Amino acid sequence: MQYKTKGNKIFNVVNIFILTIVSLTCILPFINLLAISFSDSAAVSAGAVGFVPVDFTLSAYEYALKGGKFLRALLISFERVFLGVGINLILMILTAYPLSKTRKQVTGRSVYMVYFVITMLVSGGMIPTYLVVTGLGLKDTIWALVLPGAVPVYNMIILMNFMRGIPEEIEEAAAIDGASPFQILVKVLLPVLKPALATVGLFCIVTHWNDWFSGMIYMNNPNNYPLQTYLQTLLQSFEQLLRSSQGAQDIQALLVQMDARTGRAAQLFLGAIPVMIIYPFLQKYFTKGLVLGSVKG
Amino acid sequence: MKKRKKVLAVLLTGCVMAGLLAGCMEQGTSGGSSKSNKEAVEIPEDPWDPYEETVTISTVLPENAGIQFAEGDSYDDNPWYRAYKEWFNIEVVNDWVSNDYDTKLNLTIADKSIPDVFCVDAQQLRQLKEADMIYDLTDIFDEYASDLLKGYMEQESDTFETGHLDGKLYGIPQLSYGIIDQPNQIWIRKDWKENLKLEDPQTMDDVIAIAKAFQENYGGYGLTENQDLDCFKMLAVAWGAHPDIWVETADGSLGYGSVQPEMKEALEAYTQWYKDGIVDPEFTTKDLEKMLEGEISEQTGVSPYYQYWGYDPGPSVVQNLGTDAIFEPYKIPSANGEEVLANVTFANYGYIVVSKDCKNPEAVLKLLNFYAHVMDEGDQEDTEFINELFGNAYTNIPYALRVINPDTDYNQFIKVTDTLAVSLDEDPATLGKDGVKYSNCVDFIKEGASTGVGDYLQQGGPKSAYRISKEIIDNEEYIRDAMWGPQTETLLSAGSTLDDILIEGFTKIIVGEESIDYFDTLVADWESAGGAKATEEINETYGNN
Repeated sequence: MQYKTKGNKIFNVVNIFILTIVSLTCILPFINLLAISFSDSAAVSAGAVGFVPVDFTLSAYEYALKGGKFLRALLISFERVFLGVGINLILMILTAYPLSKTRKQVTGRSVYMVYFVITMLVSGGMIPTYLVVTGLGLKDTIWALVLPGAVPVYNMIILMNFMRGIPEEIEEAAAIDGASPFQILVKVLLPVLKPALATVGLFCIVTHWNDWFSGMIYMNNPNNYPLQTYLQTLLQSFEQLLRSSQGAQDIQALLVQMDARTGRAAQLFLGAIPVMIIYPFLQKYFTKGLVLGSVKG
Repeated sequence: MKKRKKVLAVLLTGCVMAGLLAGCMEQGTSGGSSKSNKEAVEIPEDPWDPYEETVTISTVLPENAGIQFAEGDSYDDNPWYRAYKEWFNIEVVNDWVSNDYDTKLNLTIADKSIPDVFCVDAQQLRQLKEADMIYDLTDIFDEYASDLLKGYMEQESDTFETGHLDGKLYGIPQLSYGIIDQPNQIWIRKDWKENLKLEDPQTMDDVIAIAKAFQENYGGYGLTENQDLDCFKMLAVAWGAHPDIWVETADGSLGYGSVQPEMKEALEAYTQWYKDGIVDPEFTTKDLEKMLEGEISEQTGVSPYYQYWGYDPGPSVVQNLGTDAIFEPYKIPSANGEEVLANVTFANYGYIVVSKDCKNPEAVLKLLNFYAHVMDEGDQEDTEFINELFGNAYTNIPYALRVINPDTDYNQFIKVTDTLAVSLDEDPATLGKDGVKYSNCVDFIKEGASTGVGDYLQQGGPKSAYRISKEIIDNEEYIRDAMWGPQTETLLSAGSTLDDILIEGFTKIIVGEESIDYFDTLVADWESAGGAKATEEINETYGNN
């Protein structure tokens, strides 16, 4: 099964070359970050660290884990992802299922569809959303991070299309055996939909994990910040802080921040680990999803 | 089947309603700053006496990554807040602490749930006054501000005036640590200069000669620069140009310093330096951090820079290259034989405003008096108490509860250098809050500690930034920004775009993409992009005085 024509060979070479460059631009900055996190801070400030740590030390990781701030923020992020993705999945499945039916089966389907799609096109804007969240008394609770995005419409539509791809015969068979629509959804469709759920689930996990902005505007105390909001505090670039700082007296405070550049790299790296761990576990569903068919002809 | 559905529908509707009600009820009790007093508490007669009943004042503040909390301390419980309670029986609570103060504050204002006292900028001050959300502080300030506090305002009466709207005081300006921190210097590497037996620079030609000598002997490039042209702008005063501030032009009206003819002269000379390879040839790709890396990795030995070189990159230079490799500051010399005037801009950190709903607005004034007292008269108090307040960068905690003595840094410099001149073995405690600066300088002089290099080069050393700046201030060798107050409308909306146009144009000229005559085209572009309108507004608001 090999096509060894000249054209194919050239294509392969060019293809591999371009892909290598693309993947290097993704990986190299990360390796640089890793090297910085393991280097001595003096070498880092001289710009001497490339892809290999200079004066190897673990002190940055000690610093990152010592204060307890990092771990606290990490726990809040975990809490948010578990709660948030759980709610996302339940609501998405419950919405996508009826919407995947035809107009004949569900009256007013297109009205509901427009109702959902409109939220993708226009949003309330930051201040009105803030007022609603505050008005409902959610501010400064974990629910402010979880509820405003409870139904990710984009992912819901992906899930809906997956459901449409499932042959009707399966549902009909279940219905003939006396299953109610809810039983059909839980016992028949969901097992078949695992790859789809893994896909949208991963999207939801990444969205919740990466979102720093809502943590910043809804939380009243930095102690309640999820990980990404906390990291953002550290990352506010030194220059920006310098320009907004209040004169010479505050510079000393900034100095401490400056010394922490290696610590910052260490915390960024630690913050990326959970998502890196999740990917390989979900990978098997992705490949499976492509070849999986339930009605063999 | 159908009946069951109906029951379910009713149940669900019921749930939704209950949820809404619960939300509303909660809102009823927690709206606004819930913890503030409902009734005013009687004011004690002596200004330093505590209230009979606890007064609660709510505030908000930005998160400051530099604060190193001691065990058990936090934003809600710290030496400052404990002192307020102990001295006045005033309990200060934080409605929120945020790492994006501006966004969060705007949301809070939109939500109309403002705290009792907080710090705003000039634009927010005007908005809050128009929305009738803040207190007219005119009478309260007169009655309760201490003489110390009033003294600051008399000294900076122009700035005090900017807190008035319609002739009434709505925002108390926080002032600044003083204009002594504004003039910039030329920083020259000490050991290289000594090795080559070079004299202190008296003219701009001397500076260039030093840069060239360094280049010949140590390689690299002569002068640092970054993509924002910060170094060029700092040097421009040597030609009588005043970039980034508004100045009086030849015809008596106000104009933007960056587009005046003097700027063209400066640009012409600078372009030549770039051609001669003196200015960092890669400056267009460098931000400030990258620029400083060049100094730490021994690429260069001359850098026009701010007074805080010793704080950044100072410690890194000492750690990597040793104490002799520090850069020392020199006054920016004249390029054309005329007097050099440093730029001084309007320095006010913000305005303190008090919510209309605050029942005891005079309590805020008491706390401001307290700050002024411990800041200026700290030697009257217990040393340990003062150290607690000023250690660990805790001064950033009373964010909205401080007005800063505009002579703070000036007086501190005198105190620290006078003590250093007498002896290196004084007890730092005798200097009050300035003791830390003194002992840091001593640490650097005695052991070359990298933690002390900042204070040493800013204040304590024989060649220090403030030594130069004090002279500039004493001899009035500076020019004040004509825009002494908040920015006008066009500048607020388009100011940074206008500056970007100029930076881009200047860069083109310097790297040789355009000839020097392009300057005139550039100025015309700048004017049509909004510069002309901005100039008009500035003349209207700040002209003829």
